[in-house]
Amino acid sequence: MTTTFLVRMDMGDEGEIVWWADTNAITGFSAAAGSLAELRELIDEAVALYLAPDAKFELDLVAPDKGVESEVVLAAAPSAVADGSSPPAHAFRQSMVVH
Amino acid sequence: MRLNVATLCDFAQVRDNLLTIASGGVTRVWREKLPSNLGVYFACQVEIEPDEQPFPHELKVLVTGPSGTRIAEANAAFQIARQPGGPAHEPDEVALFPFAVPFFLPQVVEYGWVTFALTLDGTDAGALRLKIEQRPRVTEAPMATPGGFTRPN
Repeated sequence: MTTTFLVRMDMGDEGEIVWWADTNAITGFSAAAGSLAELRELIDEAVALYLAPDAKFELDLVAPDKGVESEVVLAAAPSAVADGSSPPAHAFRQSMVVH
Repeated sequence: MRLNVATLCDFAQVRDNLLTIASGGVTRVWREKLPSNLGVYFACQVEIEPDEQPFPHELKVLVTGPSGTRIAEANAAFQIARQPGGPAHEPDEVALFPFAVPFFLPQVVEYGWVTFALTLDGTDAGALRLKIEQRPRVTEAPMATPGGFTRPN
């Protein structure tokens, strides 16, 4: 069985970037960090501690709660893919600019 | 993950995973007086290796002024996700993530070099520089012929 962690990037109260991870597989688990790398470390620790050291898990990037422009780039039907593009990417993109 | 395109330009956009760059390679902007708008786009394209595609990734562009003050910051999160109908890419194919962000509105308050530092997943991925210069006052505009040559005196 593969455990899924939902990951999102949000803007904090003071305009800083905050990365969040949530999962239903670990009761009460919710982690926050200032970078994705730090969040990955927290997730690795949680998996080893509460599931199993060799437990399989995946990370799914989801839409942010607030303050972030977001865009879901969905895969286009093959007939709708423009010449010259790479195969239909299915990337989820979030971005923000702080002035 | 590897950066294969990065430039400052007049305009950039992403459409259908394609990156459009107009007038890339901007290294100077001329401002008669400050503060003034920065007035450029940042465009880049990132290659994501197959083993990195299932995971989310983080991209950050930090813009700082000549004295190190922060002018603007852009952050992006992206993931080359699974698709219902099967993988979008060949098993050994890198995926491309194009990114374009307007830095038109941020204000610059001093002349000199502005740095656009890019980090990918927290790792330094290089920087672009742009110089804000004061346009010399022109009292008499040079005359030009329709062909673009300066008219001889």
